[in-house]
Amino acid sequence: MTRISRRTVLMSAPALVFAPHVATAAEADAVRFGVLYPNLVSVIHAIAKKTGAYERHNLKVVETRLKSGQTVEGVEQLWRGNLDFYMGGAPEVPRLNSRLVESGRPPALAVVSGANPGHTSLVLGNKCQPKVIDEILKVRLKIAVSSLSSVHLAFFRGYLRTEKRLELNAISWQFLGMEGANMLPALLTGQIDGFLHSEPTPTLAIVNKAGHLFMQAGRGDMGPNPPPATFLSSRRDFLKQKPEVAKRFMRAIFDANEAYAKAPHEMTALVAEWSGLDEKIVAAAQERMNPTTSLTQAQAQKWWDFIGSTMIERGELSPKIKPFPDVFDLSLQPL
Amino acid sequence: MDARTQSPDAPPSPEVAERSIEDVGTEEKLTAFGRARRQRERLRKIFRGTVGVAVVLIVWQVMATAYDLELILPPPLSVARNIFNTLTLNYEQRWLYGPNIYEHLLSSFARAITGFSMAAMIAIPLGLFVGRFRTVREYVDPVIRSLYPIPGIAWIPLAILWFGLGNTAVIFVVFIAEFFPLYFNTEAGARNINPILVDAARCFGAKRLTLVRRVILPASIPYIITGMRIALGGAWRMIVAGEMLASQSGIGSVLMESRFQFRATDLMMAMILISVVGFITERLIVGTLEKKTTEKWEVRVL
Repeated sequence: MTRISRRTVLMSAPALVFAPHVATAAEADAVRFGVLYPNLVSVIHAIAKKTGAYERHNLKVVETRLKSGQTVEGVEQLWRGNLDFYMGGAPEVPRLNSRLVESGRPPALAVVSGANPGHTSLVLGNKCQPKVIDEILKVRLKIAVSSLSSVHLAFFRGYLRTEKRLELNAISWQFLGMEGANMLPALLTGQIDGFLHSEPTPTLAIVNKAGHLFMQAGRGDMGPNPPPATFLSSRRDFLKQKPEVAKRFMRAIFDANEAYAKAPHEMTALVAEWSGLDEKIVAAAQERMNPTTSLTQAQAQKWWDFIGSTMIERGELSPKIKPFPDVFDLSLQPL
Repeated sequence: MDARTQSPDAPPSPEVAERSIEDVGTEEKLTAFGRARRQRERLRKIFRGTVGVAVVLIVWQVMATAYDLELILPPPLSVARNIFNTLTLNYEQRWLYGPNIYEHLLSSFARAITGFSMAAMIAIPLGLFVGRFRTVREYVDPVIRSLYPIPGIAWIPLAILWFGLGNTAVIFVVFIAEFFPLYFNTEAGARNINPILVDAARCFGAKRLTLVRRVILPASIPYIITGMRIALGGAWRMIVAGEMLASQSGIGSVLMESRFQFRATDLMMAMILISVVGFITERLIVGTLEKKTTEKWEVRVL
């Protein structure tokens, strides 16, 4: 029988006292992450989950799923303190910060990274087969966008301005707001002549022979080095209170980036599962998407010059708002 | 149900003719007293209503200012200023919602009235018919009652599928939402007509069409008016829902776009304009109809 000496007992007392603190230190830090689901823009989160990136960085990510098209809701939840990070459509964070700046308050949110550069596609119906865009700019086409505030419309406005030296009101198109899910049936039934949207809607239209891909920003059809269409954002007070947690979160996202970049086609099944799409559609869409999430100062500035400036021109953003530091804070990325 | 008609230029009854001068004097005094009392009541009602609204506005202003809620609950003064600027087309911020507010309101109004008129043209005759004929009721009622629980908003995806995006889909959902209150109220009115009235009319030789025109329709009018009042309120609710999903114009689309822009002041402006236009529409259409029917014929639900 083993005997416990008095010395052992005395030695173990401090261990007993400090044990819970040691256990707490080892406990993962919780991060509340809002993502669009099922959706292609937020697949980097699915990859981070699947590859164990969060666990490796000692993070417990509590996921809040928002339906596609609910970017406003996501940004509102982030602003109200119900989320720590949010990944979704790009223009909403600058818009909210702009409202705050206009009313004399400091900007509450920060864009910490971005994804899906050039995710905007212009798909036209089969009846409309121009060779170059100049042939159709003065034709009364009905083009669907998710809303008049859509990032793709803002992108297209930026393209017209920088590449064609034209404003949106100088062309004859009529823009109709509708949900992405309605665009394909609307194109099939001839209610619209085309749409401006992101994946998977263009791929679905092509696969179903409803239309053809006329322009795709990712391949340089709307200018070189297209800016991102998706932003990863956070609350500034969270970044101030927990900078270490935020940095670890970003490292986990960058690990997921690496995993995707190494073998994008091995991720097809996972992307299909997360987006709720058929694997064939995802495989085809992968040619036109890049979910890896990182944003350089130059890309952020490009976004601002290309899209932000048109939003200021339209009155969506206040002229008082500046990209740095009012919108972007890229310091957390392990670049 | 009491349905009476009285012409204002009818000869005085013998009782009135036989009244003494003193009686008439007393009656005048009583009438003056009644008029003064009615005026006092009206003033009291206006005063109390104004106080109620003022209290709400003051609490709203204090809450919004004290808790710095401008971005989620803009103070009433900001909203009022925004409404004024929008109505005078002198925008404080850039207008981001396409055509001016009058065009949006006109689009919504046109959709509401078209849907309402279509619903009234179908639901009122059908309600009268079903209410008066038990056999028809037994055939038709289960069909209508089985469709009734489906909320108007649930018809929107189907409306988009059938009619595409645009006016027709929105008018269709408005029609659906307005049909049921109009139908059920008319049917109840027609079913609950006092049989004595119908028998009396028949004794005086009233044929079917005369019976409908002179007895059934006037006796059902209070119910129909109630149905119209409910239906018009519902129409504005459905207009907004429909325009938010299936239209590029109208006050619902302004509401949706202002949300995308995080412009709570514009959002509340749109809500208040819906309320004002809805109130005016109800007063103009139902109020006028009520004056021309219920009040003129002095019919009321007992």
